[in-house]
Amino acid sequence: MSGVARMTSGLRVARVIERRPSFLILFAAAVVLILLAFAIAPGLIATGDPIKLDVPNRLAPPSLGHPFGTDEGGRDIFSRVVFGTRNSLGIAVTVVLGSALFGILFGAVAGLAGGAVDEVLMRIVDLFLAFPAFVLALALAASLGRGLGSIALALAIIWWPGYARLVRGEILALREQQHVETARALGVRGLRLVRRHMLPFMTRSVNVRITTDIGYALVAVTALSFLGLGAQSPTPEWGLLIRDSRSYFGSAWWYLLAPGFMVMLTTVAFSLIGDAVAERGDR
Amino acid sequence: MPEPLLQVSGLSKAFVARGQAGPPIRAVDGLDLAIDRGESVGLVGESGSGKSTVARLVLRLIEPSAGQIEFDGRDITRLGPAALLPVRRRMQAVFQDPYASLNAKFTIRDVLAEPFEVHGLRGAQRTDAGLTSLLESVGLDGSLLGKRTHVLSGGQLQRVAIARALALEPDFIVADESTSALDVSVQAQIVNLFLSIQRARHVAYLFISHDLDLVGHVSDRIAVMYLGIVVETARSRDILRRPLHPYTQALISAVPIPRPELQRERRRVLLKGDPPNAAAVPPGCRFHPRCPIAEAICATEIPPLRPVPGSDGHAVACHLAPDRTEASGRAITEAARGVAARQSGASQPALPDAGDARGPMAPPAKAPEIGQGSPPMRSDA
Amino acid sequence: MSELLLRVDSLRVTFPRRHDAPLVAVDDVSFAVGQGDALVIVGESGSGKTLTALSILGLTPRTAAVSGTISFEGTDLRALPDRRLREIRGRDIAMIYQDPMSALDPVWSIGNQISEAIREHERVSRASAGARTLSLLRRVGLPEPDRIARAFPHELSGGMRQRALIAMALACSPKLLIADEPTTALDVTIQAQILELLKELRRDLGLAIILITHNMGVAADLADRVLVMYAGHAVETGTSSRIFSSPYHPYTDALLRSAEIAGLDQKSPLVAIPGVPPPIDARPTGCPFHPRCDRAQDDCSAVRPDLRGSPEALVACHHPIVEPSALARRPEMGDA
Repeated sequence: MSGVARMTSGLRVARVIERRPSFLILFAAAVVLILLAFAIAPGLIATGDPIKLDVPNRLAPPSLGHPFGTDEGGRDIFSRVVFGTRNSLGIAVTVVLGSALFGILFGAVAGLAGGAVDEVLMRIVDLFLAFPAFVLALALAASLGRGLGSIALALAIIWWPGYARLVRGEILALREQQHVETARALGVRGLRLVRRHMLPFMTRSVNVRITTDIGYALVAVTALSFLGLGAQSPTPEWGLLIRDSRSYFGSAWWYLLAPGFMVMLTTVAFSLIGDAVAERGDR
Repeated sequence: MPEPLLQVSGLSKAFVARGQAGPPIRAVDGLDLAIDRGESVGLVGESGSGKSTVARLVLRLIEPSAGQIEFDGRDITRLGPAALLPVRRRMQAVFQDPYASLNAKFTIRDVLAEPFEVHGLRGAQRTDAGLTSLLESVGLDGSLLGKRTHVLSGGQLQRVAIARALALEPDFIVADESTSALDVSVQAQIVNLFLSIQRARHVAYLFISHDLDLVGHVSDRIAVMYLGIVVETARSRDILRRPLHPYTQALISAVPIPRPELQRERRRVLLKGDPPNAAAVPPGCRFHPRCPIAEAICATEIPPLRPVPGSDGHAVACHLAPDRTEASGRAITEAARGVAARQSGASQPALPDAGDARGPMAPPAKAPEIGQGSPPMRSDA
Repeated sequence: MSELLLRVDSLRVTFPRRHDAPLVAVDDVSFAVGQGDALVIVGESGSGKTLTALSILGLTPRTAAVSGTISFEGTDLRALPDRRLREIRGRDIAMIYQDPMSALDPVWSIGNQISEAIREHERVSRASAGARTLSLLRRVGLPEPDRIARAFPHELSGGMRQRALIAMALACSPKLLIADEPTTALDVTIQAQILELLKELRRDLGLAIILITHNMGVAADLADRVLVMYAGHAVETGTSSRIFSSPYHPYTDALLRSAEIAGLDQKSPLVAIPGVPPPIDARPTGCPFHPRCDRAQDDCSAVRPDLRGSPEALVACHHPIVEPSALARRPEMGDA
């Protein structure tokens, strides 16, 4: 029967008052802004040249001129990290956005079409998800040849199914919502129905996924580069820097610190932002 | 006599839960219903009666399992969304919870403009001026256009939903529990709005509710539903004064009357048990397990919906009606009508519906704006 | 009124805000309930009726500030430490809600939950609690109690769940049952059954009931006395027979008239109260009802009316429909 349980106004008010802003979110936002600056205008921020060799200066510990020290070629590690942002984080973001776009379209078609189309498309998704992701990425990267482009493609191929499934699920749920039914009763259909009555309600879950995925993608990109499949010397890239730092671990402790710290910081920042998006949502 | 605007025959809907074993849920099981132009028909039932499913079937939001739906002579039972578009222009709906049934991210302007956009109508009505006058016709102010839906009160938002339903000047409105989610003092306002719309525009209604009194007040005819079928139908006056089906009698009996001396003393029928499952419809008369006067035949033979001899459009689906149920029906309505006797002494309300957004009553002069024409012609049923 | 059981005096529930005056949800409400009495609190949304009920058991939200006295059998409930209050909750005072599905734990069987409620308050064996559970389920009219006891909440219909909830509430033989809109979400035929059950329990167990509803018919069915609330204020109290036949407050009168559809000419306009109940952050000055009242005069917007009249008939109105007989203001509830 008509059982619309109405919350008392008093209780509703109580909930509104309990919200508060958070320091961690501000911190995460600041980090992201800095990273953005690194990626967009590395030349303005970095103090030195990331590529040019300066061998006499090799493996120098951190100093005023070289905040993170220098590597085995005398290059300023700080500059290499800054320039590397575009390659590490930039690729990660590209992978996530690209696979999200494809996955969303895929999942939307499946969710809206329903029936046989839905079944077939979802089985394809299952196929991709059944492969151990990393093994697939390795295999693809190896066969496509080394380089950032290859690993970007490999990662995008394993990343998109998650979005497809997410969006399909959202659409199935949204289809049952009262406002969608009301819109259908009015005559709204097809693309308009999706665009105006469904998409706006999916943004939260998709955004949460995208922001947290960026962190995971970053780790994947750097990991693959670490293994030698991604960026190649002398391209500045965090994973590659970590790889190169291995040989000098004992003597030049600063070499590993910088890129490792950046990976960690970036992942944490995006994770925090993902949490924030999840909580505040699209009210 | 012109054909009915809406003609439903043998309508059935069985839900099969995907992947679940077990019998299907027979929400609607062979329903017949006809609504004439300008007529308002009330559909009354409790949970499990299938009345909301009927609404969705008529609006073609779901596919019937069997049966036929004709709108203005045209068979719309199997039409797809594209073909239904012109039909949907003339058939509109207002649902129970305006907060849920309107897009929470829309502004009022979006809500009211959407019918025009969807049906490809440009022109004066779509402008802010046109939308403002649409709002005013339901007693609201044009200043609400820029607001988001969720900032309005329940009553205001339901008016917006009604305004949207009126935007395309439909011939037929399905109101599915449109007042149940509102505050008591606001329900009456919305009901009055429906009444004035009907007077002014001669729209046909399918008014669905669990509230028998409300439905009786608003509708010309009532159909009482139980477990997927109509068990009794008649003109409102006749059903409320002469209920013949034991379920109808139980319904009337169950509604508490705000008169303690009456309420406590009146003779009441209390049904045994809970509304049974639409997945396990009892054999014979589906009401028999709960019926206070059920006999052997009720468990084995399905009673057809039969016209009551000597009546005007009164039909009952019961083996024992009217002869065996007439007396108890009378007793029950007489007990309930102690209310009517007292009330006729009290003053009738002086003002018709009043707008709420602006606070104190809107002047009665608002009424003509709805489009007062000459009194509608009614086929006298 | 029979022997005093619960007395609420000047109850106020507010929500403090950081940069603004606090929001007042319940403003100076007082009432008393005697043994075996049935008090019905009537009001629409925003009237504060639910918060009033929750205050009795100390179940208001953390952000709410509660003041006033709530004394049960002479003990001030608000002064009790949590441990003692928990003893009273469920044992002496029980509460049932509008939506039984959210009050029942979905992962435990009905029988389990009732037995747990028993053993929470009394030292009895599991077997003994189980037996009592079955008899409780029988008492509330559930057929096949052993089957119901083994069932889970989602397997039962709405009416059955509400009965099960009542059984759980009765588990420790409370003296007072607070029921917050227990039938609002139920079909009308089931509502009739539940109300009959509540009346029966009152007769047989001497149970006192506070029932909260917005439905005047339900109030008429059950109440000995009625308290009408509007926008956080008590606007009228009195015996059921007096209030329904001769309401003093214009709001009560309007509520009654808008509830009586049956007697009107078909398709005539219903009695509607213009406007809407005010939101909690925009309460009118003076009398909260004045913007919607057709008897309002100048003093109504300026001065808030206090409750006045005799102990059994109080109204908060400057220009009531009927002047309450006699004298004083809020009475000493001790002298009934």
